[in-house]
Amino acid sequence: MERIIGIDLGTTNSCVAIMEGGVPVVLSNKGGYKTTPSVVAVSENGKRLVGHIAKRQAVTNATNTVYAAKRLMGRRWGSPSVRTMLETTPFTIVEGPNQDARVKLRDRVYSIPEISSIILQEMRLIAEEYTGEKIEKAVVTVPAYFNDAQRQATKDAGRIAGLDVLRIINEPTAAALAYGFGKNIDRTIAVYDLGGGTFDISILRIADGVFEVLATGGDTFLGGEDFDGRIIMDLLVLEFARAHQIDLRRDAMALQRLRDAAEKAKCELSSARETEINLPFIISTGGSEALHLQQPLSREKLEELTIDLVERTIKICRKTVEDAGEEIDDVLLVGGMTRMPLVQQKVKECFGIEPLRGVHPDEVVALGAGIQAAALLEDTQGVLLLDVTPHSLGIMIHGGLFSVLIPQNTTVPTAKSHIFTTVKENQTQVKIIVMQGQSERAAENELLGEFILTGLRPAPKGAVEVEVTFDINADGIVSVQAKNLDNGQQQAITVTATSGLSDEEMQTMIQENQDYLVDVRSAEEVEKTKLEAQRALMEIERVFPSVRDQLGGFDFGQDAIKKAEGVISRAKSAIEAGDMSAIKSSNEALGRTLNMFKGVLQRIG
Amino acid sequence: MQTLSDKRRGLLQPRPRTGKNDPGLGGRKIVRHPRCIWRYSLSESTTQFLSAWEDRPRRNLDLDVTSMKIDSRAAFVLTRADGLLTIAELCMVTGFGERETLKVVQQLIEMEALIVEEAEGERRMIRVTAERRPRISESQPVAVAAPFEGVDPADAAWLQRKGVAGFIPGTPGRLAGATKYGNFAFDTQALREDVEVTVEFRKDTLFLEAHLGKLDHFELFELEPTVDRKELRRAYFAFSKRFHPDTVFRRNVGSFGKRIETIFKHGTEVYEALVGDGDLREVYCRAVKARNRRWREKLEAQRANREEARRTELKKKAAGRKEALRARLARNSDRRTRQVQNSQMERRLGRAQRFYDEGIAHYENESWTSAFNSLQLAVTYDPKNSDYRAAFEIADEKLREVKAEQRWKRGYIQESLGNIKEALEAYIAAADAWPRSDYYAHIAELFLKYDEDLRQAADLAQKAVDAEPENVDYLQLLGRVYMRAKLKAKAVAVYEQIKKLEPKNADAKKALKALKRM
Repeated sequence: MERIIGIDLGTTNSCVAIMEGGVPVVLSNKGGYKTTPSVVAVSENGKRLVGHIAKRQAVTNATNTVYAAKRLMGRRWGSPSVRTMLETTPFTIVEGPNQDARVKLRDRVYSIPEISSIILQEMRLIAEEYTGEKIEKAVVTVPAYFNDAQRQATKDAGRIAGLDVLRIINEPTAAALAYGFGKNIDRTIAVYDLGGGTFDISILRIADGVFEVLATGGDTFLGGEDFDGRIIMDLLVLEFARAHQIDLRRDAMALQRLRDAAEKAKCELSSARETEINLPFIISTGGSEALHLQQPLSREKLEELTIDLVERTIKICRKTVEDAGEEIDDVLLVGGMTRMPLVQQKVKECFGIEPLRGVHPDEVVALGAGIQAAALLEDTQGVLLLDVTPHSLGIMIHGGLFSVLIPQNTTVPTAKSHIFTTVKENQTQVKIIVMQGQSERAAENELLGEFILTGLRPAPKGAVEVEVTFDINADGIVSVQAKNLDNGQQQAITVTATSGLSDEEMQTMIQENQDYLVDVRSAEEVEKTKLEAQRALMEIERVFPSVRDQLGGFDFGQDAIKKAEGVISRAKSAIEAGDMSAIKSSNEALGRTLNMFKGVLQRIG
Repeated sequence: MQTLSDKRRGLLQPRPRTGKNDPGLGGRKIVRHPRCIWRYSLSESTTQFLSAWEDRPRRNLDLDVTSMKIDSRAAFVLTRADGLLTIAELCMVTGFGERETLKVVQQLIEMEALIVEEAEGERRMIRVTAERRPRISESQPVAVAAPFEGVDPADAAWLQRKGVAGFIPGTPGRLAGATKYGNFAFDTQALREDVEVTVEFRKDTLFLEAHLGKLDHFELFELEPTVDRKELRRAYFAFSKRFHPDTVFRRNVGSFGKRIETIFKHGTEVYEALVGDGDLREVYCRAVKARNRRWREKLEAQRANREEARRTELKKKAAGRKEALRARLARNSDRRTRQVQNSQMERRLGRAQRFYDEGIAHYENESWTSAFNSLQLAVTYDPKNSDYRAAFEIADEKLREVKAEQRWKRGYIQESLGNIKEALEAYIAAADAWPRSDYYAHIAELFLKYDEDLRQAADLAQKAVDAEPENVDYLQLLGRVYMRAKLKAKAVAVYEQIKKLEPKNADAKKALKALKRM
């Protein structure tokens, strides 16, 4: 029976879940943690690091550690989000060949889907460890407000990781699904998801096992990172500059330490009323003097620093509630940032109801993804998600205006047709600029692609009609088909390059990843056998003295001891060399020796 | 992935028929589905055979193809009919199914554009039967109404501006009282496709897909027209659970994937329009109710008309039947009475026969009275029988004769005894029974002799003369009677008569002379 997993690919942390006997279960990684930081690094010896290990060495290896890659996913090089990231991140962001943003680690440039694929790979390995079988299919979550390019990039990341991403689902919807699964509820709920990098608000109607999204809104560049940023920029860096006239931002390591400290302080202030940020030897001046940073931080101060961010989220909430047009019965808080008292208070004020506490804010999204994954592959779940498209889909028309074809919050899958005609005599091709967004002006919206219809017959203007159908599938990904109404044939469409990876790049990346996997796998195996050998050696050395005492007196005892010593020395050298086969044979020998020793001890003692 | 059970798969796969494997199209066997229909209702004629499946039609080369008026399908079939493909193969080669192909083939055969060459060996005949009797709804098709029929024009105009969301077809897609799918012809290829979807669902899908433009929104969701959002939502959710593509995500659904998606997209569009716009909901609900009302009125009117027509027809029929019944009854009663009469008659005839036989027997035995009586009875019972009558008359005569003789004898005896009066009575009775002339004469003489009633004598003598006008004796007797009665003229006449007959009659002469003296 093929297993399928649900992965919450978060900005700061990722989580994986699987259905176990009809109940979704979050899987723990090797370290025993249920969530894994979405951090990728390349160490000095060229090794790829993911998760907790990568995060822990972020301070010392700041320039080659990528965090919050999701904030760059599917974004164009020139967009404001990318520019902000450029200014604040210690790692290098470069422009890619398709006007996308890429990161440079050590001497290699990685595209963002590639970085994310490394994280997805890690989650996949966690699942494979748990189940003991190969996992090839997954459902991955994205913020509800992600646009088409961002979703495509996430799907690409899955493909590079060797996963068949059956469906991309929205995080708030997944959370609602996990909340409502197995319960017979009939309510309208609002899901307030404030995570590490993104904010989403979704209003859903749950009834008869159908989860219908009524409206959704959000901000894909507003999250915990920004709250941290406020602490860093508006408090720590500022205060330190005021005190010592040094801009801490220049030092990558200092920045990284600040980040960690700020995050920690923020989390503490959710329970304590005040805390202190203590960073000794934060930076050294020109001379040998080392400076320390010591900053107290109270909850009030933090709230003062971040109130506008929370206000932004509330504003979006109000608009979305208006779009939904229904009365809200419950509010669900999802995402680590919702632990902050200010956020909870503001949410309560906005909706007028006490938010629900029955869900784990960090794990609920992965659980929902796991449920949907199982629901797609088996009929037995009895749940159905009716999600919506978050952005209006339309085309650019005269005067740089945006004409909406499929409005925001339309249930997907959906399709809409529009008839286009020529504007000039003997025009043989028509260009359609497809965009996604809410603004009336096309320039402010996101360009999905320019579709050029070729091969139209030369005719007077307005004579040739082409019917173009815009289709949004259940993943929220847009596709365009055109039909020439003259002869009813499918019309040829060429798509200009969208931001992201071209097909060849994808292929090479997938291939490389496979190779890397194989290497990683064999390296892991060597590690394992070495460990075994070492453990065995330790045991033997522990009991060796007592055995020597016992056997030393006898002749055959001397032989045995000599043989044992030989085995030990051989094992040691094999471990040093890292020779798999040698280690394996040594292991066997060591095992036999150990048994013999144990036997001797038993007889005597 | 779940797969169909073997049994189900076995049902879907056709059973190959042994011994009929034409090489045909690249070695593929021609098989027929075990459950397929053998009879095709192609024409309105009664059961007849089109041809056999194994026959090979070929084009009639004598006929000028360009002059024939045939549609593209027929033309296509014509091009494919080259005398090498059997009809079965032809059905498979053309894309439009067995039924259609056979229709076209028959049409072409009738037009003599195709000549069918019979195959050797076993031939399975294609049976062509009459069209099945049309159902009531078929036989009385309701006129197709324009969209927005029955809807207030202002509402209709407003709704038309809303496009698909506001569309209301003129007739309800699901007609009241009709079966669930009406007369919808399903695409049998699709129904038999090897996909993991129930047949019931396939039918629903095909029906809805074909009727997306012909159902109003409430019909699509199987809902009564309502403004209630909750109701709409519940119905839409139920609809989604059936037609959302995710519900068949893991299954192999072939062509149905596209169909389901189309239906779902349409349903979603419609639902969102209704739920999002309160005005639209109100107006639409109102309009649909108006249309339904109009529709029902139309149906009622039609039904009433039909009822009227049927009633008048029934009345006519009833009247006709009554007439027929009456006639039949009349005929029956006549027959019965006739029967009864006949039976009575038979009895009478029987009796008559008996009496006749008795009468004859009596006659032969010379029991004249019994014979007379019997034969009289026979004649009474059967007046028409001439034999009886004849016999009776004979018997009657005989009896009278016999009676007369008896009476004369009595008279004679009385005369000899000297009882003149009794004798005369007896003689007169005899004369009455048997009017013999000599009886009359004798009686007349007696009267004369004994100077009795002269008038009676005259009468009797006259009777005798009348009986035998040539008889001179009677005449003389009559004359003497007249002379004694002093009826001169008459006597003269008589004697004259005698004289005529016997000129030498001395009595006559004497009498005449005496008369002249008188």
